[in-house]
Amino acid sequence: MSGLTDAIFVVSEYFTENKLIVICFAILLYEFLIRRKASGFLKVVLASVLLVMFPLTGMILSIYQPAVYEQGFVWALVPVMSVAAYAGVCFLWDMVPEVEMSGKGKVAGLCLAVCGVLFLLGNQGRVQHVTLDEADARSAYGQVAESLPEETILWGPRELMGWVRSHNSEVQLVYGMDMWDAQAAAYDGDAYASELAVAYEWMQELHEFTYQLEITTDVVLPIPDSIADGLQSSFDAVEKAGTNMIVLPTITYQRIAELIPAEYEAWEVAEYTLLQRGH
Amino acid sequence: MQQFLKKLDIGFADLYVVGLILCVGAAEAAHLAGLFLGLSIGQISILWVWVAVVLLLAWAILWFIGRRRKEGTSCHKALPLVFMGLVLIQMIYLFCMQQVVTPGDITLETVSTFLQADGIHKVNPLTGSAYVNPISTKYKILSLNTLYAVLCKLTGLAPEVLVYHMIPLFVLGGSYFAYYKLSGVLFKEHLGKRYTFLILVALLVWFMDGAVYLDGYLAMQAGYLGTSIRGLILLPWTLVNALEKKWWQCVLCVLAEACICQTLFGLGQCFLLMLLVVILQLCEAKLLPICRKMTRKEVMS
Repeated sequence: MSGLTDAIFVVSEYFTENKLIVICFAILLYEFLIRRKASGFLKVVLASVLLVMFPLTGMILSIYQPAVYEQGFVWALVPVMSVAAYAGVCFLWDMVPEVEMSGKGKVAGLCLAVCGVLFLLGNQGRVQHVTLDEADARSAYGQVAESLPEETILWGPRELMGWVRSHNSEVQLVYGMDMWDAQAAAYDGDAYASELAVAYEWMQELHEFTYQLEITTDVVLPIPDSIADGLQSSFDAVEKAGTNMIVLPTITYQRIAELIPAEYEAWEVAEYTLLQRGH
Repeated sequence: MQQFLKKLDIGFADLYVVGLILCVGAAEAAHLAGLFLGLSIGQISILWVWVAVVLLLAWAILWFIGRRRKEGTSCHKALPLVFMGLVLIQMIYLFCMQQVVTPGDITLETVSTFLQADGIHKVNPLTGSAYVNPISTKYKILSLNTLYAVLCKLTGLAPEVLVYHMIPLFVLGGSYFAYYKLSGVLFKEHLGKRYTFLILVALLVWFMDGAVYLDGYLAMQAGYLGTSIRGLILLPWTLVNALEKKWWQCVLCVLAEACICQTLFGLGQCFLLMLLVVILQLCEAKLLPICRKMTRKEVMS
């Protein structure tokens, strides 16, 4: 039963993400019901749309597709982009036959109309990109990655760990992306000790606290009890797992420095403080 | 032989896309050899070069002898220029822009780890330490990461540059070749309509960026993934060849998908699409005439 519900959910999610599917339906209706002259291509499109949308076949397709991929990939069977472009050609060349002979103004008007439809139905031109904040953060990660000594086993905020590992394969991590990304976890069967999972949660809480510190300027925020209480056990857990380098955001490190065991030596790189035992 | 080559009807798009598929095939052969014989990346690279050169040379000769010389009708020069301009902007974007994070993507880690460990799947790319449990066979047999590692080894490019900025260019190019061929099926030799179709596809790529499984995202943010190559090249290529009843090319796509994406015992989306077209064509050829006959009889009676 849940499979059927999921199949319906996948359809509704797809309609939310990709409103261009409306053009697909419009051209199917036009060709099959009004012109009554559908090509082999449109017959394939109609069949594939029905297969994906009908809950039972949708569920079978979801089972057919390996679980490692997002459910939305079942829509790969429907050539949505091709149909939308086909609809555009039909509109420009067949439905508006004067377009070839008309003046430049009319052609420009039609092009604007097509762009308008694209803006309204598509992703409103929100092309995904790396923001300035993310670019700054990556620059800091890069400086940290460069300053790490050989045979480092690293523990730090997850974004930093992921970036360092992908850009410097000599650095090892105490836990990988599979700790926080279920899709990445599907690639390997490795599981982590429960203490490491607790240490991960502690580091994420610290990350949240860092964010609070960054946006709060007037008030001195108290250190949350969970961070103060969990510090020692988290440090012990990652040390037991072989970690020899801990990276913390400097702004947070300054607040919790007195809680850090004395045997750790600290130095700053970009916005981060690197802690190494007995350095 | 001439008849056979004429039947093949090979265009430049075929040369490019089948060439890419053959490179993937060569990578799969080298990957499996490397995996089971424990070869180093250098040895795998040599093996890949040999297999790829033989396959590509044979394909190039076949194309040269049997290439299609006919071209479509002429069209307004502005249309190809607009299309080329749009593709150029996209290629500059792909080459220059920083990579966004795609959920579950471990390509760069894996390629870097292959190069660092000088072998395939020797250490866990997520942590850099040895695997505790064996990885799934479904994932282990996929060869795309090996192909990238081999290309890094041969060209000396950094994995980040090759994976994030070079491979998507080739994939985008392959995608437009596939759509160009599809436009030939849809609009025959009407070049004006064909270029309008391509311009609209190029525009749509910018607007289908809302989710990781949409074509726009695959083209502009994650062109190096197996699912992107499948969605942008293999599926349109399967569709167009199935519509033209060139089944050998469809089979190539099915095999290529099995090499780069996790599938159900080698059967993926390309197979499903091919099956769908076959069923529709069979229905049209066998069932429709029977239905028409029955309708006529009813009308007569």
